[in-house]
Amino acid sequence: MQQINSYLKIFYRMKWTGFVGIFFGLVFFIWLIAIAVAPVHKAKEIQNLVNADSVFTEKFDSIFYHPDIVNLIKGKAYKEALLNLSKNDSIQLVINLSDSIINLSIKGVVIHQTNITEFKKDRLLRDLPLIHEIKLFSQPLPVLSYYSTIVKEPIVVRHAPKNPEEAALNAYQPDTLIQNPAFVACTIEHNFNIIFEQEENEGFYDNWKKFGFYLHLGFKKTIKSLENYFGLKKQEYQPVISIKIPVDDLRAIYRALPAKTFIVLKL
Amino acid sequence: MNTNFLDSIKERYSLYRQKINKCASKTTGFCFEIYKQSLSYFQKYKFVFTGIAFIIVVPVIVRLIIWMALSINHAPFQSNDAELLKARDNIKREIGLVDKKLNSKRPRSYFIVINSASNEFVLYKGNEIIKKDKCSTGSYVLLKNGDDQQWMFNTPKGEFRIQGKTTSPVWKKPDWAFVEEGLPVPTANHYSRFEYGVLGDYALSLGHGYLIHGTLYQRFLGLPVTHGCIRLNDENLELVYRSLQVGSKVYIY
Repeated sequence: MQQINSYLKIFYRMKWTGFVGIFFGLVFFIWLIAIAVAPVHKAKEIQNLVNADSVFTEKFDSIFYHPDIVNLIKGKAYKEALLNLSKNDSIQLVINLSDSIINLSIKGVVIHQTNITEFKKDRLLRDLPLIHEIKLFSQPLPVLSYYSTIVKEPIVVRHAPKNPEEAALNAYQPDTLIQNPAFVACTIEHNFNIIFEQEENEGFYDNWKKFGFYLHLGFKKTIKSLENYFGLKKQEYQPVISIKIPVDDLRAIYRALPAKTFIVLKL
Repeated sequence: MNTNFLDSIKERYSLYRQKINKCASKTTGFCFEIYKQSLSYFQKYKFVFTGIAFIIVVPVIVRLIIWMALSINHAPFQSNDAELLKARDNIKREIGLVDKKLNSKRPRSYFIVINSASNEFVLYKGNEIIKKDKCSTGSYVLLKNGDDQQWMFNTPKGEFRIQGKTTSPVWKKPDWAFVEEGLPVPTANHYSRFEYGVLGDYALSLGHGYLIHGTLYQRFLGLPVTHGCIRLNDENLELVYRSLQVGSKVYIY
């Protein structure tokens, strides 16, 4: 009782700055709690997606959960997604995390393959129930947007020379393409984020670019979260998959992929 | 002599020890002072610090609880061995069918894959790699001639087929070749448009004016220097010419 009285006394003696502090502290606290519970919304969203497809849920046999069958059923979903992908004309990406392989393919033909050096899966994806995983990844997922530290098309603008003398002065020097450190973030359907990092970050410039890249992503995420919070909307949870591959492969893959393309993902 | 030497060492040792003790006591005193100050500061603002800790720790705990709850895997399965075997066989059969369909997508004869980012090509026969070497692809130069005309020198990406094959090709220079050199553009069939020997011994057409051909500038192979065509060295060009037929697939990425 005495303790409570002493707290009340402090409360009565508090200046207006204290109340302002408490108010902002409370606002900040609720925001953090909203962010903390965001994975529940995401899990529920995926659950609703699965429930909405009654044909799929009815066909999904409980025997698929058997440890001997799990990998087979995942493999089947992956192959079916590849088959669907092959119906598309453009260059597409295939990410097979279980075999640590990334492929580029056109109409089902693998045209480039690279090994994943290291990858990290989001906890939500790691603990995804089998039925959710099969539902989400048994078809190609469209890419919604990219953000990267390298340009997709390293265009160099040149103006036509007025005469042969000027042309000789501007004698053609091969442009060996801009070799910036490569970091690419790719947002796909269901608001999953796939982050590609170059394998080695040796120099200061590489690490600086990496810092800038993640700072930008974090800033964008925070702004979006604040918008949702003050707009009284649900906080969005974006599961992230981070993948490290050799820098040349990353450049080739990023430059090859069209703006609107599809990705097949095997966890 | 020896005792003097030992004494001097002892003296020095005790001197250093005193200095170290002094320094240590100073450092300890300083650290203790900081500790005391921060303790009094904490006492004064304990509600603020407790509040901040609460604001940060509680959401972290909430998130951890959520992860624990989500990781509970409900995996209900009830089956006997016969059902399991049947299900396994069914899935394997279905995978086999899909695999067959996927394998049929890959050309069985010769095809070429060109990587325009690393300027390399790979010639395949089915699943077998026949040759992998350097090539040159589009430079990504955007040539502007005033406000009216512009040309983009990039190699198109996607799936193509060989449309035609020629030996000893003659290059009919397009308008941009003159604009790029600062020369006036001649009429359509002017003799200055025709150049012999610059495309190598063979050329394979991909359509829309894009060719796989040879080059006089072999030192630039492996660099993005072309106007959109694919340049190979003489040896590779001959191999590709002999291997690829009209209709063979060319994949560029």
